[in-house]
Amino acid sequence: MRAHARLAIVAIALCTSVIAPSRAHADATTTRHLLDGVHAFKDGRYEEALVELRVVARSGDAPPDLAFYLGPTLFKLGRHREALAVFLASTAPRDALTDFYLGQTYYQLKLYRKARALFVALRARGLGPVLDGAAARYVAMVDATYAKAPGDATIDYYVELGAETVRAPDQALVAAEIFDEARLVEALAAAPHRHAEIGAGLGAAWNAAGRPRAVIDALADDRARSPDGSWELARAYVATGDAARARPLLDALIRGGGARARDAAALRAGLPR
Amino acid sequence: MGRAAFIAALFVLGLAGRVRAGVDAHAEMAAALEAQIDLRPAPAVLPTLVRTAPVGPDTASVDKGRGHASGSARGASDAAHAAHQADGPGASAIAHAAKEAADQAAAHAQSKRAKERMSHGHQNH
Repeated sequence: MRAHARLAIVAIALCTSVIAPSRAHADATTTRHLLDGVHAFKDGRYEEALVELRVVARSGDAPPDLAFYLGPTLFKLGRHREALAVFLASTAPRDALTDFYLGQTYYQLKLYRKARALFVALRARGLGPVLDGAAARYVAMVDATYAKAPGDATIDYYVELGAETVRAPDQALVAAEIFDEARLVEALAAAPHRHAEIGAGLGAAWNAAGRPRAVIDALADDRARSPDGSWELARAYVATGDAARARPLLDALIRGGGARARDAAALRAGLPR
Repeated sequence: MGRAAFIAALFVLGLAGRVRAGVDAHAEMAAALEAQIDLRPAPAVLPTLVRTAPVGPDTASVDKGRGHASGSARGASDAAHAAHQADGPGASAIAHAAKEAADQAAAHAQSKRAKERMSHGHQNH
C-alpha cells in the first residue's frame, strides 16, 4: 500500500517535471494572447485584437468559446460575413452576449428576419434593462420595415445571394442562413414566390454544410418541393442512413427523367438492398 | 516524498492560476462587449434585386444599397453542385460585396502580418 502511494507520487512528480511545464508554457502563451486580444478590443483597437485572437485560434489550446471573442471583433471591423461564419461554426454553449452580437451581425447583413427572431428569443430569455431596450429597438426597426408585405424583388435578392454564396468555399453555413432568410421573407409575401427554389437552395446549403438533419426538417413536409428539393432531401436521408425514405424519392426522380435522373440512379444503385 | 508533494502542489496552483486567467479574460470581454453594443440600430432597409435591361435572358442587378452588381440567375441547388466550377459570364450578384471584403482584407493584411510576426517573436522570447 505504502509502495503504491510512493509510486503514485513519483508518477505525479514525473508528469509535473516533464509534461506539465511544456503544456503550462503553451497555456500561458495562449492565455497571454487572449488577454492581449481582450485588452485591445476593450480599447477599440480591433485590428490588434484580431491579430491576437488569430494567434489564439491557431494554438492547440484555444478556448472552446473562442467565437465569444473572435465574432464580435470581426463584427466591429465590419467583417460581417466572417463574423457570421465564426458564430455559426461555434459549438460552445450559447450565451446572451454572443447571441446579441450574432443578432447585430444578422442585422448588418440585412438578414432582418433572422435578427428579429434572435432578439425576440433573447428578450424572452431575459436581458438586463439596457440590452432589453436595445433588443426591443432592433425588433421595432425590423417590424417597421416589414409593415408592408415584402415584394418579389426582395425575395429575389436573397435567392440570388444564397445561390452565389453556396458556391463559395466554406460558405455553406452562411448560404443556409441566407436561404433561411429568403424562406422567412417569402412566408410574409402576399403570394408565393420562388418557394420551391428557396427550399432546394436551403437543402443544398445544409447538405453542403454537412447538416442533413436540417435538410430533413426543412423539406420533408414541404408539399411544394421541386425535383431539386427532392434530390437534396434524398441525399439527406442517405447521409443519415435512412435508405427506406431515400429510395422512393430517388425512384420518382429517375422516373421523371429530369436533370437529376442520372445522379439519382447513381445514388440509388449504391443503396443497401 | 516531501519534494514530490511540493511539486504536485505547484502544479495544482498553476492549474488554478490558468483557470483564473481564463475567467478573467471572459469577464473582461463580457464587460467590453456589453459596453460596446450598438444600442440604437440604424433603420433597416430592405434589399431588392432589380432586373436590368435585356443584356441576357437571365441577367439581373442586385441593389445592395451601396452599389450594383449584376449576376446570372441559376438554380440554387445547381449552384451548390457547381461549387468549384468557374463562374459564368458577368459579375456575380455578390461580386461587389466580395470585392469590398477583399479590398478590406488586403488593407488589413499587411499590418496584420507585421503584427503577427511581432506576436510570434514575442512568443519565442
